[in-house]
Amino acid sequence: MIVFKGFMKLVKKNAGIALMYISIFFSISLMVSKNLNTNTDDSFTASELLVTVIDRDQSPLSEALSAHLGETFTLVPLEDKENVLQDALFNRRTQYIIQIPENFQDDFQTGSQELITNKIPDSTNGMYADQTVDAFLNDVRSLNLAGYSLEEACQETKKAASVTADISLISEDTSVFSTYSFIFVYMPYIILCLCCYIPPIVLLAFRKKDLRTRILSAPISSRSQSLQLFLGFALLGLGFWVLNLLFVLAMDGKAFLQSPNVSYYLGNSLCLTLVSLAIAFLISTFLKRDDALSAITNVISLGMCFLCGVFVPLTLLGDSVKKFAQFLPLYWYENNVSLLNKVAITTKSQTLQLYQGFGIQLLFCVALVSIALMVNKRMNVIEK
Amino acid sequence: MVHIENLVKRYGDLLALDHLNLDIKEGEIFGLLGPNGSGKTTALNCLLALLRYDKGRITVFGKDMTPDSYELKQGIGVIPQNVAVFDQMSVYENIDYFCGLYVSDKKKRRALVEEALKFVELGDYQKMRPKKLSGGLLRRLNIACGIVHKPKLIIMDEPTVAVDPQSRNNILEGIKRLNENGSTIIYTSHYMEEVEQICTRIAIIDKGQVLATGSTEELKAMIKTGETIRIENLVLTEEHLADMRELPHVYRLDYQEQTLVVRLSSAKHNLVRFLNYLQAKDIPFGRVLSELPTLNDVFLEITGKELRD
Repeated sequence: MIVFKGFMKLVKKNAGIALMYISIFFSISLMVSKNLNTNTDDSFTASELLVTVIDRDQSPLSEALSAHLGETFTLVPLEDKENVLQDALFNRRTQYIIQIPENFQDDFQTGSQELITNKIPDSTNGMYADQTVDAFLNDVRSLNLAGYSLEEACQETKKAASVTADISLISEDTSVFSTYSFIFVYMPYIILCLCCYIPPIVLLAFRKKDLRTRILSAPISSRSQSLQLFLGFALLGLGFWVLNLLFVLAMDGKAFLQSPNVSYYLGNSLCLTLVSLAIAFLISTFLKRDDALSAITNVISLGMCFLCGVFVPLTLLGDSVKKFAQFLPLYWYENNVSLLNKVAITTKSQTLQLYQGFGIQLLFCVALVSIALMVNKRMNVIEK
Repeated sequence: MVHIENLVKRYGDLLALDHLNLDIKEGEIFGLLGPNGSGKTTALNCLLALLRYDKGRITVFGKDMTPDSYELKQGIGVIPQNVAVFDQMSVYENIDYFCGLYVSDKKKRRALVEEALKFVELGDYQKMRPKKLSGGLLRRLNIACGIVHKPKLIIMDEPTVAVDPQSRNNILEGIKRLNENGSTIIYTSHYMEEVEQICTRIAIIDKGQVLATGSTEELKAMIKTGETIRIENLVLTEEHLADMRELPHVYRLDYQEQTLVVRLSSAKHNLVRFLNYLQAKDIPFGRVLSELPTLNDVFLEITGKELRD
């Protein structure tokens, strides 16, 4: 295993660069995740609308309407004087005033009823209260037309309004990510940087012409040498993956492990690592000098991250960019991550979409390795 | 120890090795002398089974050499033309790594590395990285990496290219010591002085063929040139040159940039005759040199061109 040991020794010698990439990425992640935690979008408290009802009709219908509004909102009793009502609305002691005129019930039965409402102009509260009143009256009218007496219709509507349904949230649009989902969104950048820089620079050292001659002259088969290098390559990639996962666990481990999508996150990031290693293998096939590697790494990692929705969300990317990005493996990773970040439990079709994403990434991986092997073979023939 | 028979290697239309034959005996420092592109490195790569060849047979230690001949490779050390070490490893780590390709036992390896460090006198530099070493020290490191496992056969491909004279002498002395310690050495170079200085037997190669083989003396005896006279800073006419060509034992005469180079077969008083002629014609002249034949003369006479053309 001397070739493998040599590979790892050289990796150790390049650990400084890896540490630099990792520390930059992890520091930025820390800073951004701290900002995420101070977001107040989820610190929601329910508030009730303040409604004043002036009932001049005192009929069963008007009373039923008053009672319904009382159950839905907070009633603010006020004196039936125009200036008192106007002052209360102006001072926001009430947000919605509804005046039920005399003969309202009679007019309702002929369909000519009119309600006088006062509300804060263009306020959503006012619209909400309007909708509540309309819905109540529509329900009563429907039941009345169906043969119920007005009193019965009012009672049935009240009964129906009191029924509540148990709702459990199965799909949640979390426009605000948890810390771990944020790290998974940005993970391609660090994985690509590490994979495209460290393994190729080590492989390049082994590929120096005279050094290769010297190693090939030794009593170790070239097959064994290649396998040992491959092992080093793969272990290094897995090491980068594990390192990122440890970072996820350190930052938001509890939430991550409680997520029902843990296995999908792991699978997706493993596919990403394999694709990154395949890209790195292809780079090292073409690479002749190590001074170009830094530039190549930056072009590939930044280019793909911008095009495939790492730095800019996929939803903000134009159609043409998205179409182009589909020819890049990172797009499918980000596509999966954005789905996983949206849903708590995946449906059958969503699961299928995730597996499709894994499959496409692995196909990219196979294709890239095949190209690299072909180029390698061709180059060896030319050299000979 | 090494037997190469009718070796043919083509690169497309280019015939790199043209029925090359070599026979290297145990204990020799065998020199492969030829200009750049003559096929020296190709021959070595075929010998190490790094290159496939079209025709011929190679045996090392009496056995056929193939890419899978790991037993044979165990006894061979390679010192490539360019310094072939890992830039990111220290001197010690490099020697240890290359030793590890041959010797797996850690304890034994440590002893061998120490010995190699001592041999190339790099003990004081063992913690340094190659980039911090001078050209000469780098070459020594290159040699240490090739000899650390104490091979029976050492192949050196132009190990002194771009090395200062002092380091070159150190390296050549080291090669002699390796040979004295029992290693057979194949040494390629286009520096005839080096080959002449250290090799016990030499093969002159050009265009992939062995033109002549033998010791330095044997090779020199093969040619007509017994003496080369060089006279500088003199102005001669065509008439003078014609007269000189008629002098006894002269078989080749070149006059360029006021320098006369005459090659003569071995005889007494050659130089005196030339000086007498110049005195008689009242021709002033500068420095006069009389040289015994060199390998360059051998190469020139066999191929019609200078070794460094």
